Amino acid sequence: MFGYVLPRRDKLSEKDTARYRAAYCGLCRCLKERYGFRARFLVSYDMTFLYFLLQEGEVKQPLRCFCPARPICKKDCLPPDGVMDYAADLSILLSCWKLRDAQRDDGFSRRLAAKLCLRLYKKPFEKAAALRNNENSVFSEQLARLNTLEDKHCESIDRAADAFASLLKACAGYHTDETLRRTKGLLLYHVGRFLYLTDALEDLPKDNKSGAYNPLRYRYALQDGKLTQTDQTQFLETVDASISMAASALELLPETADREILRNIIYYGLPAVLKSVADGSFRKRGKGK
Amino acid sequence: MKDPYEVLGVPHGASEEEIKKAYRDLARKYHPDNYANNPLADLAQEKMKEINEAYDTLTKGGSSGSSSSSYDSSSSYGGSLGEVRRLIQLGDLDAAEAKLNGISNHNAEWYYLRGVIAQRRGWMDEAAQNFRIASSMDPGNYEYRRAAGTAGNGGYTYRQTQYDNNGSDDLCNLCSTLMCLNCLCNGCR
Repeated sequence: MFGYVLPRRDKLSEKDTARYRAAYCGLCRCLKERYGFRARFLVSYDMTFLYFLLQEGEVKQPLRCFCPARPICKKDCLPPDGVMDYAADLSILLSCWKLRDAQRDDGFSRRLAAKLCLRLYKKPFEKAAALRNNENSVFSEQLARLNTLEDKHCESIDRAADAFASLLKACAGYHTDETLRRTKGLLLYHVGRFLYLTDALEDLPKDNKSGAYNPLRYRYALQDGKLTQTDQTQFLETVDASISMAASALELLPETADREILRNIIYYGLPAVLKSVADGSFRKRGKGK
Repeated sequence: MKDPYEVLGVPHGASEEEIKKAYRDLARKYHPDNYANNPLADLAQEKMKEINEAYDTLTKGGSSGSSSSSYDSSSSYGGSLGEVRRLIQLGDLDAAEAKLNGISNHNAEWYYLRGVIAQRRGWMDEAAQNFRIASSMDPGNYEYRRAAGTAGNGGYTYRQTQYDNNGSDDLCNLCSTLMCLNCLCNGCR
């Protein structure tokens, strides 16, 4: 979705690094098995996080499988199971909803690209929507709500973020157990809030130029298209509050084998991403552009 | 009942010192103050109870005290704001908000409760704004001051639990993390 949900490799043990890779590769493979080759392009770190979050029960041993990106050697990948299938289905749904959203507000060439991509993923989307009907209707409903808020130039960053956060919360619908659903729902709500607000911060200069809606433009009085130092500090605090809430929920979940990976992402990964988005180094240095 | 050693996360036959340390760490983590105005406060309270019971069992009715029961926020507030507090405690935030909006006297407590409703919803920016107003209207009130101070972290101090942020999150590390991640699907291992 955004590529913000990442672990910090330097604080991840060797064993956990291998597990994380294997889950990423497993998800990629699962996407291909369920939706054909083109679906492989939709594999993401965000959904790898979802896989680990929803996972419960015993540790699964990885398989050795073929990777088209490195055809000469086999790679470890975690075997498909209920959670992996779920994460694959939601990868399709969320990617397609993001493309639909891109059709709304980006420039002409990007709109066109989004349109072509949507056509390419039409069949997978229909299949995933039929399989995950409940989640898909929440996604559709919350995005419509978000669009309405955006059209009304909503001044509350909380309310604008609420729509996206509620959307992500629906991913806890995997569980039937009420307590798990509630706890993971709160965790996902705050990860969603974090994503929406971090994205708003990153897009602020661009949106300010193009005049597109950005909640920060209405919530704060900008100076030269930027937040003042005080406002930026307060804004970062409120995003940090969501990281705290996600952490508070994580600590109430039953221990699982991959708990340290989740801890790493929430305790180290999210704050590091927020920090680098705030000082403008996220895309520039991180992605080597 | 669960295995008390498992609850405290210590091996069977752990020394009294180890048990005490594990208990103290867990009690700090799940302390009600950490979960004040958190929608999962009830689950934290259950966890705290479990930890207390495990500790009591292992120390044979020792002196853990009753830190879970000593925290009882169902206090007796009167008037219409008391009714708002009651509705918040029941988790009926919409009704609490409606009730609050019907009150014309906007005193410090009114803003505080508005902040609590926002915080329960996860709306941290509105929560912080309201707590700040409450605290500036009544600077002597500890409850408001504490709320204003912790609104920035949602009440849960994740940096102080077991993951202290020991310094090294500079750009180089982040950069190398992301580069490593980019290699994830390319590396031949």
